[in-house]
Amino acid sequence: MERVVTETTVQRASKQGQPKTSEHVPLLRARGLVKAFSGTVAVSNVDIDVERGQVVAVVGENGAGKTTLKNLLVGILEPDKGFIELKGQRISHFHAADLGIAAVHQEFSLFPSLSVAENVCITDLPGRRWSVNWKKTKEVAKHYLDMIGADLDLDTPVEGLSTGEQQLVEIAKALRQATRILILDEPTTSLSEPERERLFQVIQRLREMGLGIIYISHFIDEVYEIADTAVVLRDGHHVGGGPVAHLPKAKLEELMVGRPITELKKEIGTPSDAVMLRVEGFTSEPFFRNISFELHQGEILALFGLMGAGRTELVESIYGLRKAKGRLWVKGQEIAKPTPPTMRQLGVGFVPEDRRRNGLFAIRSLKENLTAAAIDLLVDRVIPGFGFRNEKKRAKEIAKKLSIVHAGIERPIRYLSGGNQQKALLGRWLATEAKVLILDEPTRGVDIGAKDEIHSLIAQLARSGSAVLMVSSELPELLMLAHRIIVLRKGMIVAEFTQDEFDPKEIIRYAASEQETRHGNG
Amino acid sequence: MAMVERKNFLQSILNSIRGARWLIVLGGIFLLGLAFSLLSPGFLQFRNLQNIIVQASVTGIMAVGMTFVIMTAGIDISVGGILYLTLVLATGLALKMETGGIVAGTIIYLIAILLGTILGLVNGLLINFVGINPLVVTLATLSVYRGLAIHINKAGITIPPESARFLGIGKILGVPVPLLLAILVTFIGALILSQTRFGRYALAIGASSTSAYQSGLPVRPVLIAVYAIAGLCAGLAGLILMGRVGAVQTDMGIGIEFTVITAVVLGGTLLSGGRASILGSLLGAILLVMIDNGLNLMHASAFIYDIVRGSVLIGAVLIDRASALELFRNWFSLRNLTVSNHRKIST
Repeated sequence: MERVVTETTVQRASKQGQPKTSEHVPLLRARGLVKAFSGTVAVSNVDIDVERGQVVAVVGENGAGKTTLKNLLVGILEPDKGFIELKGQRISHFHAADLGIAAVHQEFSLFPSLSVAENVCITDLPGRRWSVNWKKTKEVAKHYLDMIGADLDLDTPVEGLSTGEQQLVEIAKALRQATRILILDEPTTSLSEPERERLFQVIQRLREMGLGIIYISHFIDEVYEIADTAVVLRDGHHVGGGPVAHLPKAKLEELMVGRPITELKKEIGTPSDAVMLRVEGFTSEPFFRNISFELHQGEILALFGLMGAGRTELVESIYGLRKAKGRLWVKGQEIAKPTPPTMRQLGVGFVPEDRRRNGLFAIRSLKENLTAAAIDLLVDRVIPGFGFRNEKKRAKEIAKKLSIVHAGIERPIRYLSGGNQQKALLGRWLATEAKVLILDEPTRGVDIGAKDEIHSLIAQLARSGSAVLMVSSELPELLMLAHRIIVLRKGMIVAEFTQDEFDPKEIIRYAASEQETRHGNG
Repeated sequence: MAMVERKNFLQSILNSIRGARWLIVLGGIFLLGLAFSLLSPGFLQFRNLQNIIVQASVTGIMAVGMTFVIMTAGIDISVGGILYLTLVLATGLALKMETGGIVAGTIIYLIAILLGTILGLVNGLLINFVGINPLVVTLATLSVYRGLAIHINKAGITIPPESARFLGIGKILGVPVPLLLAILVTFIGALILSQTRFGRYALAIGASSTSAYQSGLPVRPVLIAVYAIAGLCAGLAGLILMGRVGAVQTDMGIGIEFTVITAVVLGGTLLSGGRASILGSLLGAILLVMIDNGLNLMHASAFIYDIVRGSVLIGAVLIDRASALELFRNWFSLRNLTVSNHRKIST
């Protein structure tokens, strides 16, 4: 385990405007926190200090242990080792709200059909024992909303608000309990740019009010924008950190990733002329309209766009999970009405965005997860229709080929890490010998090592003649992998770039801003 | 540290228990058998054991069918209604045809099994094409099937021809036919579950129906077929019951869905789907029938059956939650600690 910086956070405590005294006690101090889940270490030996009026950023890749750390700090989880002190007092088995600690979780905990005022006050509605004082409720809600400068109608149900506004409600709600510490878990992932700026103003204001703030994020730029100190996690380990003023960006990136970031173009081969998948005039209001493209054998075609651009809806329609107007050809054969079973038979595979809900059979074994879509190809039947001879052997071969790390092929797949689960889903389609693969965010929530392996795997698939249609929000990975990038904006194709024209700034410009459309020469 | 070791030890015991649920149920059957034979001299008598076998065959066969439904995360509470309606229609038709002897018996058997399958199919089609929750659909069809049967039968009793009683009271080489049928059905069920694509798909659908669909598996056909299987088994079980009783009467199959579902859950099949044991379901059925029978011999009050059956069900579900024990302990320590901490810090 590498502990690059260990004492910095402690030293940091004295630099935030408070006089340095030997008995100085930070607002919140945690030392040597360890938490493991069924043998897998999620958080290992993490220290953190938070002062009044200080913003501490907890940064790390997906799966680095940020959310587990948050759950330890708000008392949802109990550390296996280590301790947490609030104003010098050890706390354990605590109810966070009683101690003035509150968190805005990544998934909102609002009640969509209740009003703004009700949501802000829901944890402790004002009034007498059996009745609610609605007037007081509104006053209280207004007080906290004013505190963060949020001007919202108190009677609107929150389902009618934008994501950014909902987040403000969530913060106001947390503020009512957070008299000492407020924890924000990836608060900007679903915010628009103006909403994000507003959030930062709110954080600034809370800092001035003397709250200790823990800001969890994987966006490095935000750390420099808002935080005083940083705690960097990698694979659950506290690998470094310190005052952000003394932490160069490149160093922080390296700490997060564990190696200098070099994004080399993968060896992806050259596509042939054979058209494997053709889409013409695909339309499904309000998600996308008039989408046409061709996917060639051995080609990796990327669909890039911001959230809400209609990428997921488009690929789901192609695979037959949603209805859409338009024409579709697979290997030259027109498909009138695509459905997953017919697409599977035609050799089209699909790895969904939300693998836990839509991809995995969590409680079934790794073996069955690998063979689910290709039983007929993988097993030798004893009597026609009966028996699964050699299934285990073949599943092991696939697992080995994809270097899936597992503790036994018969163990439920839910015990595997996100990266290995994702590899297993790819493996499921490799087993079917699918010639067209549709991958929706294939590396989301996957640790950096597995990410690289998945990239190599996709490149290898293309080299061996598969056609890959890939959706991703991470432009770097597309630049590295794709032959061609199609940019979607608000459900329309606005630009197309071939490999030699790749320019990240240009691509983002087309994806984000109101620009005229452009067509590549590919 | 000692705590951690103990926890791991407990966990490993619980894990191994969960892995082989049928062994526990079998152990329960032996222990209960021992207890009842000591408490009530009539328990081990040949006639009584034969009673248990026949009743357990009826419940067990239905439980095997129900296992396929539950492993897909579905439920079918109409099986008692199917059982009764198939008997009413089959005997009614046979009597109308005015045939006798073996022919009448065969006709009744064929019609009952076919009808059971069809009625189950209706459930499956309603659930899959109208898109209503299985609990609601089968609650409705339970009412419809039973109502229909009573209407047709005019709430009367039908006496089937003697040849139609073979499945209930017949013997082959001295072995009661119900027992043979139960073993056969369990064997076939286990074979389908473990050796065919259908069984594999049913488990996959139960583990996650959206994952199954997105993997291109035939979700709908499988989900329809499992209800047909449950219906078929209900039809077959009804024939045994009719043979035993020697009549088709209105109280047949009332409340049996509860015992059947309890047997399935007891046997180790998850109500949330994705994990199932056919043998476990049969053994679960035997255990439950034994409890009923033993209590009956001890002249226990009728309400006691329900209390015991309900408690057994809760106990079975608790074993599934290996963490229940841990949860309880955490909750307990949480109470003690929160209060003290809260006092200390709230200044």
